[in-house]
Amino acid sequence: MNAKRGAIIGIVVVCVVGALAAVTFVSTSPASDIVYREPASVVHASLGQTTSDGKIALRLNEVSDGSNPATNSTWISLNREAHDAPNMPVLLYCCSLNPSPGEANLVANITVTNVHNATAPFSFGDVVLVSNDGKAYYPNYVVCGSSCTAQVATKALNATFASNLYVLFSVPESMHPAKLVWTASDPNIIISLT
Amino acid sequence: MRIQQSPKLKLLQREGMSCITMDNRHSSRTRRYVAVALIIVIIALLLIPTIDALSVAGFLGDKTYLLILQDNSEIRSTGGLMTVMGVLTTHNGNIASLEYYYWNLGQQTGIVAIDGPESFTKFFGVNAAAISDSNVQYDFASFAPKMHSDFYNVTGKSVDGIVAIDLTAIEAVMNVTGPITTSDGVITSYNVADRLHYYAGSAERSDKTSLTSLLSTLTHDLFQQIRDASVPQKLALLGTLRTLEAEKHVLLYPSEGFLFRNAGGEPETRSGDFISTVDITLGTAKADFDINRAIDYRVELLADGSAVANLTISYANRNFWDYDVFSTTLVPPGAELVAAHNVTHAFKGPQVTSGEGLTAFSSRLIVAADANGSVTYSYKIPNIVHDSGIGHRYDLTVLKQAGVVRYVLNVSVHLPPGAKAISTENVGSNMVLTEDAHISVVYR
Repeated sequence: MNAKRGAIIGIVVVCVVGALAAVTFVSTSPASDIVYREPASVVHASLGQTTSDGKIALRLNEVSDGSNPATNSTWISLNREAHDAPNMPVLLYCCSLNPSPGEANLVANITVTNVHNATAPFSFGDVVLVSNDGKAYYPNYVVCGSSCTAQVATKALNATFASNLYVLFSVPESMHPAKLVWTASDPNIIISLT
Repeated sequence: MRIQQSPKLKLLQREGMSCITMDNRHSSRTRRYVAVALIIVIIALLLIPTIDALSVAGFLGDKTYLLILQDNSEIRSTGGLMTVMGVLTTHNGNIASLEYYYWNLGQQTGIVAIDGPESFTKFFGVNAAAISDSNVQYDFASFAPKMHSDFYNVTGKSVDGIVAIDLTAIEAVMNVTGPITTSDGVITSYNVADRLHYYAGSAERSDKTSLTSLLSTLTHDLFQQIRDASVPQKLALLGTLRTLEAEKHVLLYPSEGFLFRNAGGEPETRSGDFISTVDITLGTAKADFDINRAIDYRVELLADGSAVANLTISYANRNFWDYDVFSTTLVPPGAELVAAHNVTHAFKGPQVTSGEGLTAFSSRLIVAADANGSVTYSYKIPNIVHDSGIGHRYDLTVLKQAGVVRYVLNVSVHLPPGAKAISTENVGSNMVLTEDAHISVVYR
């Protein structure tokens, strides 16, 4: 009888402890971590090299930390330009580069050119930053000049579009970027940062 | 037969103190009862939240909620700008229907009366506002019943309750459930707030269809992910929700049973000494995640039980644009403002009003980009110290505003001459406040 009672209490205790352990484990393992799985067929490029998928040509100029004064200055300038320009069809909010605690803000400077000779679809959400341990991070925000902003916001770049885009990524503080991937094309374009 | 079951009992007996004794048969039965009671308590602790969750999810009858997304990067009294509202009906754990409206819902026809608080209506000379801007009461519990009836009057839609969540809550929930893939790319806990801001700005037309459709996708997928989550994930989610509830990032009206009993459905308790800062930003857009707030409170207790208080509310603006805030600080009834000072920037006020069980000091500050701003109130508080059994007791509650992520809290309590502290709780510097805090000092 005593043994049975002890077993029941033991099982209950194990269940409760197990549940608490599971809560602790899950709550300390961010589910937002996504591993980038490289498709079998991809196009590789390097920093500063222009690559095209036939519609959009991309050149990754730099990935820099938002705390970099030059990056911050450019970011603020473009925010203000887009926000204050008269007759803007869209009104983007200003967005500062101060990271949340435990995070860093990285900015990818990308030259985007429409090589399609017609309006081309474009979403900055298709740009993915991949860390050196293979985790994928998706963009938060984008700024560019006032004439560029309206086209990027409507996800349609006109035939003569060519502009530098500054794409913001919030990442864990310890993250080291290794490559930038343009996922809208088939095959994906992978630009190495090294 | 006398038994000595535990070292503690033995110790008590050695010291000649009385102890409970029982015979073996009695002891065995008692232990059995205790074991059964323990199991019942554990099962109840697991079942009660489950029943609550089932009720909320519509398993015990369909439920219709007014879902309010409060953008806490643009702070308002009840937690944030009511960017988007939706009507959500749940049935057996599924979304039976969901319809979102952008913040300017019924801008032309949705004007509602503002019946206070006086600190707001007097300062701005207004008595009506668009329903989306009507969350000016000091807390969600005071606002929600009015919103419940206003929403019905404006839209003709009746709801069982109101759920208000902010961006901090969405980030925290997505941190547990994982990313969601939409037609606009992958949304994660890292980018959800900025992406919603981007779409709020760039979405075309006044109804912001692309924003509301993105939110619908997010809500449906999030609901699905929560339903399909593993048991450990569900437990983690429960823990997350409890934290968000305590930190006032998830608010529910009316209070739903045991699980969400503190989720804003009840008015905040203000007793003893208290500080409740309630901010409303004015046209400075998405600024509040880059505002570092601090509360410095120095209170001098006097021998007659009254106190002289110096309260400084500080704002460190890390944005590259100015921060314009209407700040109201609630303190105990009968408080008498002696001075407001340390103001080195654009400032209007102070205005003193009183309400039920409170005194309100209100000011408007404009804090320049990358600069600090503050306001200091010096005031007297009558009869704030109470006699306790062993001496005098001073209690202070600092109420965190819903939606605000954190404050830095510095509290110093100075006793009357000759008094000696017996115990202190939470008196000190650089305490990070993410939920309500209680401070106490007992002295004689």
